[in-house]
Amino acid sequence: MPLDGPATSQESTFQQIIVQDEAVSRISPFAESTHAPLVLIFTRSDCPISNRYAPEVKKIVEQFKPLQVRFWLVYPDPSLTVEKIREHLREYDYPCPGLRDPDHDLVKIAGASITPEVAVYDRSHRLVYRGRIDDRYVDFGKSRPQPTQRDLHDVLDALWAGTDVTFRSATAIGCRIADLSN
Amino acid sequence: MTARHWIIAGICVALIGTLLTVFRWEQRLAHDTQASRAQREQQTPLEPTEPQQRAQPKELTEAEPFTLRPPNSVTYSRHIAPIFFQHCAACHRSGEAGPFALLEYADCRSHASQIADVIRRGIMPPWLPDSKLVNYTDQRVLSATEIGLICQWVDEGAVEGDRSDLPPQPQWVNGWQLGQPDMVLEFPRPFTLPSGGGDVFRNFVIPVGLAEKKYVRAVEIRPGNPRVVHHGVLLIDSTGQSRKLDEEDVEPGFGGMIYGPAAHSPDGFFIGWTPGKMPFQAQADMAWDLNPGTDIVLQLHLVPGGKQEQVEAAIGLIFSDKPPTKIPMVLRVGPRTIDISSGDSDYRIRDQFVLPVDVDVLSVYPHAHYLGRQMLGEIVRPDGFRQPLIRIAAWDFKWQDEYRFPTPIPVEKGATLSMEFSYDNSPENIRNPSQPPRRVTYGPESSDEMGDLWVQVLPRNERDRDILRAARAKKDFEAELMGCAFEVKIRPKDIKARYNLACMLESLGELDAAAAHYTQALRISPEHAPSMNNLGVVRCKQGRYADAIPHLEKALRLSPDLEDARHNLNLAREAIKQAPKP
Repeated sequence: MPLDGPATSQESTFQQIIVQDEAVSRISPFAESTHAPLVLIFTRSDCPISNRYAPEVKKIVEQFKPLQVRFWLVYPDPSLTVEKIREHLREYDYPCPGLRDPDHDLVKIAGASITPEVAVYDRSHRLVYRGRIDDRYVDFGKSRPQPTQRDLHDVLDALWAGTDVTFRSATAIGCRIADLSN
Repeated sequence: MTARHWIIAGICVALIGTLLTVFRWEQRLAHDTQASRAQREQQTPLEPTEPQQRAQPKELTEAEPFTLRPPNSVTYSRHIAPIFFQHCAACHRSGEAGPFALLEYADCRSHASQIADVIRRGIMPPWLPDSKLVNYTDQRVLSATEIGLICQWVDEGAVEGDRSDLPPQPQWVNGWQLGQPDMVLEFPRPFTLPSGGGDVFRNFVIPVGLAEKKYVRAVEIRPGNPRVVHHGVLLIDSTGQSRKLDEEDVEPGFGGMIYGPAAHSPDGFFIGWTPGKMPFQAQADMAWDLNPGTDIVLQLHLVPGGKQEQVEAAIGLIFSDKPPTKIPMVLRVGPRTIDISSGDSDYRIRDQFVLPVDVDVLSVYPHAHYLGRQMLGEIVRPDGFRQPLIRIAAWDFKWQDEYRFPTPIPVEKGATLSMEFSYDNSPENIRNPSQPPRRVTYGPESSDEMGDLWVQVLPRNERDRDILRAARAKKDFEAELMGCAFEVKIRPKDIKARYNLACMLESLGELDAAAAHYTQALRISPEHAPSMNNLGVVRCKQGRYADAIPHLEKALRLSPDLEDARHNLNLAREAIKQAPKP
């Protein structure tokens, strides 16, 4: 379900639990990121590929956060408690908040199917990219020594440069979100 | 002369015959390259050439194919849990290498389609050898029925079923799997693995501090943090060189895939750790010597997992109270002349070792780096019958292991241990350390390549062991000589390569050839004192003492601490004094 049109009002009505430091509240990442590019990073705490990407995610967040890009880690595992999310954010030193998405509202909006997978929205909240963070992994247990294409970094770079970015997707490798459906 | 010197002398005599081959080596290499290129064009997988003559033991005959069970009849509790408990949970449980547990329905359900995918494609359980061809001890393989049941279960919605059908959960021994060891060795302090970056190879040196010689019957390696330790290899070093390297590095251990010049596997054994592997315990009459003053070197292959981790392995040693009566040996089959041009997707190497005595083959350990693609190891019996030892269709450096045969394979004198490996140095090999690919030659670093089939054999008696040891020494010497000649061919300006070849030729008594290479070495590096000294020594050996003296004097000027040069100079002067006057 690729969404390449403007954000619908429906997107703003979904309220995810946000986990950040000690605070827990309900927010909509779209409503929170008005006029700012927005990145949803789908992850789960027991997915080894997601976890191995933590340093790369951190690097990208730290590079683009000062440029007003909003980052959210999205946890689609309904069994993962707020406390576990907080622990995971702390353990892996993520510099962005986590969102609990037990009913997969954000999963459906973004059309995500894998962890780790990212959905990038531009300032007007058009989905411009969905897929892998980079091309390091090509299959389970099969990875390059270094990525040859840094998809997430490059799309954010293009947004920052003001380039007209049209929707693109790239297959992500990791754990399947469908396995988490009730 | 000591016994060792006699053996070396014997090898040297035997090798003089092979020396001419060395001088023709460059020419022969060119021929080999053409031959292998022609073969490469066919792009055939590695298969024994005479399949009709291949052994097909009864237990390996194809099992009954899986037939689908009635719809919706396959449940986790009745059919799937027993499979996961038996084959997966040893690693997929809390505190072990698997990233998630597979002991409860909810955990299995939350990865169900991924499990079916990796099992269907043979990615899990991780097992490199072709299990249809050869069986090994503790192999991690699922049957066609087990795979079929898992896939049907997932395809039909991965239902739990009646919990009363669940078998009891497996029980694992906490702590040491082989019981309390006789000696436990621990890291002096933990190593901190960074959160990201590439794979880390780290060599940890642990002094043993024995007061007397011990015979080690079993080793249990506890990786400490199995989530980031991908595999471990245990080596010994009696020279203190590894300890020095460790001390020079401020962090615990020292880095690199090369574990130091003096560290080696205990003679006759491979000792390692891979996820899920049970530690091997030899029979009481088969053990290896651990002498006072020897350090243990544990090389760990570590894979960063996204957060900083502490690694603190421990090693348990179990001793035998009697000296071993059965002493296995490890034979290395594989050339040291690997030279893979950039872009070559099917480079092949071959080598063989003819057994001079009857042996029993106990296990094999194939080894290549990131370009390795396929591997084939066989016994070729004297009548031409080919029996596979191992075939790997898709090599993965990260899952390298030792493969032990359930019962030793008796092999008669005159049989050949044969190996053929293929390599992919194209950009399509995603594990290629260089993109774009570059020429890759033999060497121990991860950006070099290797091609070894290590075969652990047990000779039948003391006399056979001596014969086999001499044959192995000859084979290793030949391989090293070829390797040195090859190094000189590909790196003619490399002083180290030239010097090593000259030394080997000198040890063979090929003095003219050795002198020529020392002279070349000195053209490359005119102030290389060891080459200058050795050239003087060669002239002495040739009886040309007057020619030797300027070389030895210069060696001393270049390196006043070179005691060998001083000693040799005195000998040369003395020889001249005592020579009869014309």
